[in-house]
Amino acid sequence: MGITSYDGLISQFSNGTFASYPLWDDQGVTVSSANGFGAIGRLGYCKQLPNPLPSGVTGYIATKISLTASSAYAALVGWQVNLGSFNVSTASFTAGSSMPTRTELGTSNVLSSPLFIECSTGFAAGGTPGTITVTYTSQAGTAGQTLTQILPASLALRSVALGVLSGTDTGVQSISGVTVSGQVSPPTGIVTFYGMIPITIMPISASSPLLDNLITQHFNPMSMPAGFNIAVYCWASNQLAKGLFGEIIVVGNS
Amino acid sequence: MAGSITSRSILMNQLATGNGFLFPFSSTGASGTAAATASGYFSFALCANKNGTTYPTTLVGLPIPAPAKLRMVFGTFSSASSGRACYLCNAYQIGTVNLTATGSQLTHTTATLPMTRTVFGQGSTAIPLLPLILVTTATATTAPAFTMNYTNQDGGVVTGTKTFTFPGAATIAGSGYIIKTEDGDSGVQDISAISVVTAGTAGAATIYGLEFYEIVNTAFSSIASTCDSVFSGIGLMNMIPSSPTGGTITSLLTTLEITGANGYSGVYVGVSDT
Amino acid sequence: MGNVLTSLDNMLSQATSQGLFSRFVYQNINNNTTNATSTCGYTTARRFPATITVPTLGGSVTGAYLVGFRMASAQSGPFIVGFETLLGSLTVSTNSFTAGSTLPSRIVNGTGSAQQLASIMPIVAIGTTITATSPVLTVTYTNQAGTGARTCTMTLPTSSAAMSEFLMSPHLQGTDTGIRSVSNISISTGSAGVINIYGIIPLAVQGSVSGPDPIPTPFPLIELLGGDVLSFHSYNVIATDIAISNIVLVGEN
Repeated sequence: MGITSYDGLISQFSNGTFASYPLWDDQGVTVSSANGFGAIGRLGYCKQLPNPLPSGVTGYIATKISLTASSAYAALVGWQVNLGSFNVSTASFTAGSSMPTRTELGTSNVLSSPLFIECSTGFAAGGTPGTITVTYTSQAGTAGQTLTQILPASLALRSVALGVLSGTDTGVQSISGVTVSGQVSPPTGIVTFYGMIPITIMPISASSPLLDNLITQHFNPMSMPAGFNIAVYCWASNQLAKGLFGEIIVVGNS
Repeated sequence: MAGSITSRSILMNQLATGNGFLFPFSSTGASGTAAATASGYFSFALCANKNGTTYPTTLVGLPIPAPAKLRMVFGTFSSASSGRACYLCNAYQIGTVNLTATGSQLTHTTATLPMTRTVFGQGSTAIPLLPLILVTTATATTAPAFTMNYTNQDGGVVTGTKTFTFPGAATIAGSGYIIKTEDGDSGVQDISAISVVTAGTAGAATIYGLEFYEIVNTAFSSIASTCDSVFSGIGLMNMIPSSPTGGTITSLLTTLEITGANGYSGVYVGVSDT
Repeated sequence: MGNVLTSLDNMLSQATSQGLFSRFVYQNINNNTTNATSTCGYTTARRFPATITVPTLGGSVTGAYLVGFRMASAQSGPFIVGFETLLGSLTVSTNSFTAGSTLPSRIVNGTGSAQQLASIMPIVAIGTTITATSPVLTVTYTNQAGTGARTCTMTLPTSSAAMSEFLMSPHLQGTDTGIRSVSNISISTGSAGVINIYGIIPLAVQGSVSGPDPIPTPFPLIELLGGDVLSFHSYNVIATDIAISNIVLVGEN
């Protein structure tokens, strides 16, 4: 049936169909600042919610989040989708998932997202990692779109770049392939491509948590199936090591 | 099991008919040594009930009654300093740590963890906690450092590789920090070992696992800020402590202050639920 | 069911039954834009290149309302998202005008009959960089009251860059406050570039990098239909920028 009223939300809390999760992360390294990497950082995951859905729960709805970090940012919080990864030394692409399909305004649509390119295994020193060409399907369902991204030498773990999409594309539905050029003795290292389904964009005050109300402040009660991590990306004021902590509350949809 | 509060009007009726709790409070903490990167970035004070607390060695928790469930609905918090954020939280004492010798130095609570409560309607579900280390005896001579072995938020057993280093050779008593966990981990269900790799000539600490109830940001000194857990960020947390898997554990209702130690005064309100 | 905006319960119910539309939208301003002057809008502005088109409405959904907007970028705000109508275009090299559309009529705040919309935020948007020295742009329009043959005259900066935006409202004729349609655009000089005139109905504003939402909003909530275009605007900055916005639409039935 689903939650169809504010009293319905209250009922779910009363019968214990919710969870509170801490958000705590230590980006203990200085990330790279080169070729687009460094402007955005990935700064935390929430515990993956129970998968499969618990009995009586049809989906997860985030209702409230509080966050702070040791440096001030704006944070993007969302449900994360692994769109694939690229192994630098073997020049090989491993396919991931596509952005999911869901009903929006009465119509079934494939979701799309900006492309977060994250260094998931730090690059070893030496060599030239090259320039990747990512072939993707755009938010409009147009296949064969491409973007290029230089991979800097010695790219540090957790460095993130936003892929510069083709033309006026606003998002990626899926990635069909990644090729590379210009490699010279490529180092070991992996970049992973992520999409994000929105929970919120919120300000972060340094060392002072701020609250975002995801029902009456930023109305976005999207009910998500199991299998997605909640991730936080931040616009970085600097590339230095930093910490994040806070809490997110998730209600089980009925 | 269905709860009894199924609407806003029922929630208000509970308060009117005595099925709730309103308590003015005052909590106290103490200034600590400022955190550094190697000690988790953030400085905390775990502020306990002003009367009866000798900080940081003897903490008296803020009082709550003992119905089966007490839903947090509202609070006001005021701090003597501006820009202090605060979490009202339950702190479960996981153990104590000797910082004057190397090796395994955690004395674990006699209770069996994880802590459990109803999550998504499923009873006795393990919950993740944030690990806070509170210095109870100041360190001396050398800043102690340790690694932590723990059970993470998903129940995975982890041998920690990150070294937590206190920010000063003389880290003062009352200093509080969150212990580093591995990449991708956001909390702990239990801590099995604290391996001190660098010892001081003095120093002891208590480790608490924190469960958050509500957050409030006191923007201006001595001007109260409010948290409305019904409408301004719905989060009707059960303030009654969660239960260990076995035995009993010291549990304190406290206010966690960030980057300060003045404590808070205010009022918190809860509603009984079945 | 009744109007979705009459209660939070209705919004939650619609979100559950029909599904919200919620996206992170990527924006890239990859060139410096051009500062405004007192003869062309006073306040430096720009229009992000990527727009969002309201998807086809299905099921029993008859319209949609923007109920959530947040934006983050490397540059500062404020930011505005609005319902955009292309009122007309000018090819500079030939000084030739191409007609656009008139702003439509729409239900406002979910009640009553459809109202003829007029934009309080008409803009000159540089589609492709123009080559012109201090060109004088003249826009002939119908104002908010339906009076035609009104003129707006602005002197644009020399060779304004693509994605620059110049606010027309300080330069409308007499006491005019809004534009329904444009009947002509001409320029005094220039050899290259494309200029577009848009009528923006502002739907939400964010004051800084991340800030409060449009609920409550100072702007009327206009019913959106499938195919409507939402555009994004920022102010007081000309530097290159990458931005991400989050918009949330809830359906009406």
